[in-house]
Amino acid sequence: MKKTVTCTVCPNGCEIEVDYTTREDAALMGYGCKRGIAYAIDECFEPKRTFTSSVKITGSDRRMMPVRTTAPIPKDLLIKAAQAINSVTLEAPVKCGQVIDDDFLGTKVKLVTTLTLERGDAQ
Amino acid sequence: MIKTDVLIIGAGAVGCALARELSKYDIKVTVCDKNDDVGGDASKSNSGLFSTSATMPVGTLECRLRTVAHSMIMKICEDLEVPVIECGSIAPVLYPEQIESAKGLIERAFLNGVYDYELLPAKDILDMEPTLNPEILGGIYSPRDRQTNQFIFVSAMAENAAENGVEFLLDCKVTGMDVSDGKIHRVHTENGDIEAGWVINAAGLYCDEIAKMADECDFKVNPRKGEFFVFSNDTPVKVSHIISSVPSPKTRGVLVIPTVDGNMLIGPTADDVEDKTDRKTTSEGLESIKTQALNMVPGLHFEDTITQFVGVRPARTPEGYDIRFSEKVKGYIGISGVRSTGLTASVAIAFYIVHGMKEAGVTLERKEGWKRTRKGIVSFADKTAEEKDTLIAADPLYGKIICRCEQVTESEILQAIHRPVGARTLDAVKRRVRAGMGRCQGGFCSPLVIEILARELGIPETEVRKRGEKAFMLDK
Amino acid sequence: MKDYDCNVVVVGAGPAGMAAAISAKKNGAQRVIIVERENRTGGILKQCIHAGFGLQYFGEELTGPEYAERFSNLAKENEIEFLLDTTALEIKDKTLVCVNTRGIINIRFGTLVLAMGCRERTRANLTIPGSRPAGIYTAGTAQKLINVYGHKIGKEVVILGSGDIGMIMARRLSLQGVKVKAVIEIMPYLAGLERNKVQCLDDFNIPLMLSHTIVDITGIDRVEKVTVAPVDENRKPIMEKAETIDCDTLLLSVGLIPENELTRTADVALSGITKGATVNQYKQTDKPYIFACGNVLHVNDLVDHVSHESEDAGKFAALYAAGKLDKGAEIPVEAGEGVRYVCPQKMVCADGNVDLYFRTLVPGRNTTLTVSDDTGVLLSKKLIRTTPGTIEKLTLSGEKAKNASGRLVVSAEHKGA
Repeated sequence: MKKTVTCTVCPNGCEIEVDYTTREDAALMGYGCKRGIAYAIDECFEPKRTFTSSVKITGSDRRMMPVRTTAPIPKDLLIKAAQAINSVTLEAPVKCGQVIDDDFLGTKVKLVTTLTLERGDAQ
Repeated sequence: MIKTDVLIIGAGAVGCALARELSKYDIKVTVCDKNDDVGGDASKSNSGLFSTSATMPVGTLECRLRTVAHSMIMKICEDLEVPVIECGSIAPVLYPEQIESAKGLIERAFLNGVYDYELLPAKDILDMEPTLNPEILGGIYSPRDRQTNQFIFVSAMAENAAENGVEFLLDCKVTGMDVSDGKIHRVHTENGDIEAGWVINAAGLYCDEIAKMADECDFKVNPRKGEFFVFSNDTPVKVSHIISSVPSPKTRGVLVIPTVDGNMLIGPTADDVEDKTDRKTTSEGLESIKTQALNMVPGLHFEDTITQFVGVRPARTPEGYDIRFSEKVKGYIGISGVRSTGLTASVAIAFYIVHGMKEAGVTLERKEGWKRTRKGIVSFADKTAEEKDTLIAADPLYGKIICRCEQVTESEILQAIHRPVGARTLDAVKRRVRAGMGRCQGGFCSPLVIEILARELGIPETEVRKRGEKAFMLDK
Repeated sequence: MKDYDCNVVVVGAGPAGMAAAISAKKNGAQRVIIVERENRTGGILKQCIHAGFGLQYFGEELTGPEYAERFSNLAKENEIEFLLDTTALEIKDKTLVCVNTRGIINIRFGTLVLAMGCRERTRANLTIPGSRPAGIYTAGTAQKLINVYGHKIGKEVVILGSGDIGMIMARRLSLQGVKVKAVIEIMPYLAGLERNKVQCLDDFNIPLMLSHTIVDITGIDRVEKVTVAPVDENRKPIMEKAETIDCDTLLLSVGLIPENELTRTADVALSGITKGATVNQYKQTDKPYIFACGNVLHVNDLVDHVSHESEDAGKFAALYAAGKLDKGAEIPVEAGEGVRYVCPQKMVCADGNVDLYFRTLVPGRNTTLTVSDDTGVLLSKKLIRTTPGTIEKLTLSGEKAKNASGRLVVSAEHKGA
């Protein structure tokens, strides 16, 4: 099978041509770096994305705490991920990188905070 | 049910001027309006001119009221701290065929009691207004034309009226009346019934609909749409006079107007429409304004537009002001046909009606301690560094800038919300203190203003409106 | 009134301001103050909660808040002083007049670095006809309402403009369960980065309508629908082919404009194309004690570029404040064939590598980028493809910069479309 993948690893957006039947025998053209190879193959077999969103937080002047997965998760899980975090409420103080879930949706990927927030008003 | 001596329907220029005038007397006055704010429809969306306007039919009621009003209005604006600039106006003559109509205009002005219109040579006009097209053949100069912030003008009258005891019922649409035996027994509104000794129809654009309810309607309001551009206050080419067009087959009456707030207003178009709620700008309309304005002032930077808007004027068929103490329905006063000149004329209409009421035998006792003056909201942006420091010392929130484009502080926004007939929507805040009126059009400050409005009005943020009944900013 | 004295004052605590301040400190400025109108550092990155930042600068993919936090930690380590909740009002000679709830604050400085960022173009800038109901937001305002305030802005959304923020908001809204009905772009190509089309539009099956625009907005209280029409090659709408899309919200992602109102108070010369100050490679404006960096100088595609550029600005601002920056003769740097603009617009012929940042005019393939002076080509580089959405960079060596003569011209030639 042939597929053209626009790489999203970095802003260069390389167009990678993949000719494949299995993960192992895939032939690639047009990639700019090694990470692009891994991305393009994943894109053909199991597309993955980093999930980012924000969850409620109390005890601070900011109402929402931004969060992310520490690695890409299967693309098909994005909507489920967004629904799953609706029920999460954190309480300040929170450190950037604090783990909310260390096996987010059973992916073995961590869901963490991306901002340090003191308790009370802004510093 | 509310009982009142006088019910004024409509909180536009005429309604608010009348409310203020009647607040001098020992009677209960109530104003109701379908909108969430005072300022009306036509009264707030126009060019803000207190003009000497030569084009009125000679000897009419409109002409008389407007001329009287023009001589009173500066003092009223001073009392109410309403900003006015007497910048004068220039109507450039661009084509030879306009010379005759220019002369005709001056003659007509004279007959209307405006003696100081002059036709000046091109050089003199260009010296006064160098932004004009250098090809002009001359121009009419009218020294006493003025520009105001029309919303501040109307809301200042409303605030002053409220301070003197007038009650304002907003978001309160009149839906019908019980009329029988030559009398209005009840006025129905969306928020309950009102019983009034006098019912004054100052509903402007909707005055025909109200007149029908009172069974006193022999005219029709034809909405006439006018589109405008508003330019940023830092646009490089700015006029210092109101630039208007001499009527000719090639011109359609576009104006280029310097405003009291330092912006420029360019428009309007004049298109008869069916729908009174039609507030749509059109590409044809905006394009035609652009062409005509550039013909007069070639250097205008249309890319410095911060917003475009539509005003709908209540043109009347048959034409002309009509102020009527109904013979048929006792206690009903109908006002119709008040067009753009009405912004100025409003203050004279108020006196005229009160005079008429006295003549009709109403006892109007002047009350003691009527407050003639109203304080404006002190604008942080207009002050010197020392003055700003003093303002902040008295109220630290004068040091918290919410609207970065217009440098509007939280203190000003709180005042806008909490003064009499205060702001309850984003647009109402914007109209009073200019938050969101600048280059970014509220991009940066609207989340903050939503937060402040919700906090101060004690409502959830999802209930905060841009304006109007259901113009919610957020989704629940 | 309260007074401060400092070597370098920076206006804005976003990525540009923080990078400039840290760099100024590292390059010898003793006292560096950042004035920030909000109550936190980070600027617009605070609301950019998506990943994609820092690949070039940190070699890893960070979210906006993470990227900002790294710089604010560095700023604290370097003892940068912050005046938060403080708005800069005016530059009067070598004093920056600011305000906060304690009163007017005068900051006397050796040099000043402008780092105020940009604002979004509005509906009025485009003259979109129609009514003016609630429910029309610029993409960045929507981003703030959703990501920072936790609000919902609507149920059915149309996005005008294929800028990066617009596409990122398309994804954000889709994850919120909001229906994004279309992204409409007047140009025949994407305005933002290709990767954002893939992961923000394609992933959620959001149609991208190229060569289309909005010709009417309907709705009295709230947006009810928009009318969309294809455009011809002169970008004029073909009205016969117009169709309506029902929606309650319209987002605009139609470009950014540097926020140079403060700059104007110092009468600094601005470029008509970038809408930012005209600068030399030191990011120095025509007022030698005023420097500019980040999106207030020219709108960047990547924050990584902003950080690098701003470090230059901070460094040379520190040197100038210390009297160590000699200003030699400047030659003009111009946009040649195929190039929209180059920043810097001037170059001092002196030692030190010179980074030339620029945007091409149209997308193309097999592009040759060249820098030449009056004597001929000084530098060239071949790229597989370029788009106007991406900032290109060429670095002229100090040797070549020192000996350049006449004027520098940067051009781009596409061998393929």
